[in-house]
Amino acid sequence: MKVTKPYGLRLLALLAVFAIIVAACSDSSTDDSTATTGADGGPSTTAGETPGTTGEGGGGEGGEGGTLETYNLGIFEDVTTDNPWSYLDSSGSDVWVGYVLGPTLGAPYTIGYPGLEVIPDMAAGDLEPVVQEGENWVGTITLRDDLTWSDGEPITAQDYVFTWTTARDFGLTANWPDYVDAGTEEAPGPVTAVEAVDDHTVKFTFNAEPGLAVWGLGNGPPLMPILPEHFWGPVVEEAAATDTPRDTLIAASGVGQPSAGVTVFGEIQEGSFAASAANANYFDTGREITSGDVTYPVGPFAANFNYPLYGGQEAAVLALADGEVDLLLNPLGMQRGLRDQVEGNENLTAVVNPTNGYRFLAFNHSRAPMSDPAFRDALTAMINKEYVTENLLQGAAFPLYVLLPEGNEAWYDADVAAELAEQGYAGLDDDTRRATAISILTEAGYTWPEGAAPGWYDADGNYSPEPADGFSYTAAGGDIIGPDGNPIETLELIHPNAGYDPLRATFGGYIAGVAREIGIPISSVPTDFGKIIDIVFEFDEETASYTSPFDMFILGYSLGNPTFPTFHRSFFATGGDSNNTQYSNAEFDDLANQFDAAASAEEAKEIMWQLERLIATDKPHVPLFDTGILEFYSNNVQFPFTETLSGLQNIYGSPGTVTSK
Amino acid sequence: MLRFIGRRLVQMFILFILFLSIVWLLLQLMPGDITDTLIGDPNIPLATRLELAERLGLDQPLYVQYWTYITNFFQGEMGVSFSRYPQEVSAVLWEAIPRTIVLVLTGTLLAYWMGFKSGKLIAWGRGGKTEQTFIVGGIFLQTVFYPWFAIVMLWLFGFYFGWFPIGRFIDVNLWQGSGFDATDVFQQLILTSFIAVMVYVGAKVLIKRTAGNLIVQQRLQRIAALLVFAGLVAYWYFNPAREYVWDIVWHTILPVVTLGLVTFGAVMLITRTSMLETLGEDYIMTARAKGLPKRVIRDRHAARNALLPVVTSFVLAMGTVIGGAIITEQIFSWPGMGSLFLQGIVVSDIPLVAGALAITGVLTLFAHLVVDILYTILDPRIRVT
Repeated sequence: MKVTKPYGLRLLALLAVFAIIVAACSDSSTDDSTATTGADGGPSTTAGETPGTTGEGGGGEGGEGGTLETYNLGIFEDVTTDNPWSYLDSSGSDVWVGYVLGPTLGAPYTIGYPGLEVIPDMAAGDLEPVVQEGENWVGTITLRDDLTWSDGEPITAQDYVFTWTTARDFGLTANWPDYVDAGTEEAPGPVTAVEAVDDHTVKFTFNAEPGLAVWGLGNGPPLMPILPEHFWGPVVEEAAATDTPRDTLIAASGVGQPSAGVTVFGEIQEGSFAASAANANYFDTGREITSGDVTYPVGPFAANFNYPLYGGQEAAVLALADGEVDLLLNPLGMQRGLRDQVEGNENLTAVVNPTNGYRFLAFNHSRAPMSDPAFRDALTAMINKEYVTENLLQGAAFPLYVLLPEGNEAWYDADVAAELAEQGYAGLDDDTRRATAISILTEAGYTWPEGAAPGWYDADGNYSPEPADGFSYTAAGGDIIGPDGNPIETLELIHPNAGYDPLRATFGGYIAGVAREIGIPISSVPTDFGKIIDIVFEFDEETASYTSPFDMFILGYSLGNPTFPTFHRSFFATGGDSNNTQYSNAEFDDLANQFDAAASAEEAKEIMWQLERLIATDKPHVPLFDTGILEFYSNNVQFPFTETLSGLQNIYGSPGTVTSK
Repeated sequence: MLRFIGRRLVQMFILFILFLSIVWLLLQLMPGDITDTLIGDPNIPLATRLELAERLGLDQPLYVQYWTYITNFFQGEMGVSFSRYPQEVSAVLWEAIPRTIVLVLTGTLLAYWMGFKSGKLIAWGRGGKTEQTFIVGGIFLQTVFYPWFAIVMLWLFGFYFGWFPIGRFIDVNLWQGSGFDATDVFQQLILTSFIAVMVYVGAKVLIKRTAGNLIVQQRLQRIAALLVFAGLVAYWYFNPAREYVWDIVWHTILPVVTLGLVTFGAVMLITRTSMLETLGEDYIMTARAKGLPKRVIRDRHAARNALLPVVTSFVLAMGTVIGGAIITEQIFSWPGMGSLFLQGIVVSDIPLVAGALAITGVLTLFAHLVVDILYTILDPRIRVT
């Protein structure tokens, strides 16, 4: 009895296996020619040669590029709300929501990119200084008289007052308190009242002279987005009548809301995409903006803005190569492993920009020996950041010596930064580092057990605290002894594990290693990221302070509003919101207060660099490194600039200026 | 049987409470919470973080949080999603569950159907090159590193050949401004498909009872299947959402086939082994001796008895839908329970993760019950006590 053989099935199976093997062995790029370089290899901000496809809704002329029918921006997480009250509150404060709703919002003043200046948006001119009226101070913002919502209704001063009052009365949190600046019931101010003098004039009353943080460059009332009263008024009224007004307001739908920005929100299909359209009534269309050294026209030059959702970066890069999307938005940037794939495709561009953040080593200042500046200084001297970033991390990161990122053009001072880098022991060889650290510790009264001091020894056992001919370095033979005569117990350095962040894990292991060379017993403890957060931000509500149950840790912070960097106060001032290291320095606090009260940007900048000097000297944190943010976009589109702090994602993918190539 | 089912349901209820409690406690052991997402931004004041913790009840003692969760759960409230505040967890899951079930169910059914058929055939024709080819292919598919395989499938059929979309659930350019909601359309598609299957099953039963001749029965069943399928197609053809339904179906094919292929290998190998054991039984020799046709021996005598372990594995696989779907959903950008679960874990959205796991728990418990009941139907030697 002969069994019939299913030849078709066999052939199919063989073909399938063959196809999979071929696919796996193939180069995924379609072209291996050199990619167009981005910001780190030369900016790609030149205009295109010919206009591309034409759209209907785009209001502008597209500069030297053409208009786009649809600008597709790939995202990686759901857009969970269409409500701007929620977006700027803690409930919806989410970067993915920001990518879609951010371009729909307008404020009296805005941040100009790439130069990071505060420039008028809805306001008629530059911000006027406040004037004193009796015991109070009064500021005025005059709105332009050509402002309209996307539905054609005029934007008025009353809309501003409505937004400010609603945010204050509903107790909205996260970004709103900075915008409102009304304080609390117990401590009101600095803004005590806001009123619409006429259709275009908003008057602010302050109970004290406001500094730049409130009235100028910071996230104060001038930068508060204005929401339309004719749309949200009834919603707010209805919410106010409920038992849970705040929750009711942030749960309300924003579908159909008029926009004051370059786009008008369209819809969200949860799990799939979000979509916006061009604002045909955008009041800024046609305006030329000069920021930094770039001048560009404002659009929009695209009719539609789609935000398809991708589950993983691999699929998203395939979609980018296939022309499905024009830019991939991700606050953490794209994986470096995908860079070769993109650079091997002539239709795509990879661009790297500095981030508005830094990775650092922090000390618990309430515990010895971390409370001793000499100890921190000696440990800093031992950390060869260039060696770690260039050799161990193979250029995946670059060393930092000041907190303010180089990409913040408006505030960065290269000369002072170079000086502070020297203070942070940049560029020293290892022997000089060891000698410096030993010298600092010895001068501060630290000792080592008999015959165990680190240093240079010759063949006869003669000791030198510095490198010398015929002497070679020998690491400490025992743990260091503090100035009080007690040996230093093993100190724990907690840092993210290699699975979460190999860069910080490498630095953690390296620091523990070099510390032991001079007898500082540091134990590197790779820890789950969430666990680190739990430990270093443990907060005691009764004492309203951080408990700081750690010795040292390595983490990374973002730095907030780049136009007015208030992070120094938050991280290091006594009682600062993020000061979880118990660092307290009266001189620093005084400088931070002066910074907040500064009357001009120049004065603030001068004080900020004094703060940086103090940090470089006292070393409450040791800045370690940054990685930059890697982004990919299609050459079907072009931007007036691609070199900008935190990348194109930080400006929502630049929907107001993007054109076709 | 009813008493058995009743007793099992009581046991399942107790087990479920235990399961839910353990899940909830394990999730609490995870370091960090949702307020951590606000850390490290100097523009977000500390007060905001504390207020958020208070609003979500995270400042309460653990036992209070636990009791609130459990009591709310059994009153039909799974709580509010922390990361999608103030959306209800049940509403979020309700959107995602059908997508995952369709993805996993279709992929698994396809794999089991293909795997059982081919496993049966290669065991029957043992020793040939076909068997060797299938075994090698099956082992490859069973042992392949799934994320790599899924990406290769996406690259090959989505990007290189361009036959299918590069992942996702729907085409944004088609749906944008269409006025249709993808979830509504998808749920309608599931409903109409379910009705069609039920109509077919009804017709099949009717044909079996009325038509005496086996060959006539088979022909009538084929005609019924064709008519039901044509009816389903006709319904959607004249529906205004026609192109949108097709778009969903088109996006479903590649993830379903990928998921099906990796499951296929295991099913085929299980079936083959089970079938080989059955073919060695005395009653198969008796059937051969009686001169029964090969097809009857293979399909009625051997394959039906070889089906038992395959059915067990199928039903239990259905209970673990989330686990099976996480990688597929991530790679194919499929917005189902797996993706939600992963996002929930990343941001410590405990109500959402606990809700997703609760659903998995319920499905697994019911899967076990179904297996027990199916056993008694498939194997008359097994009786419940």
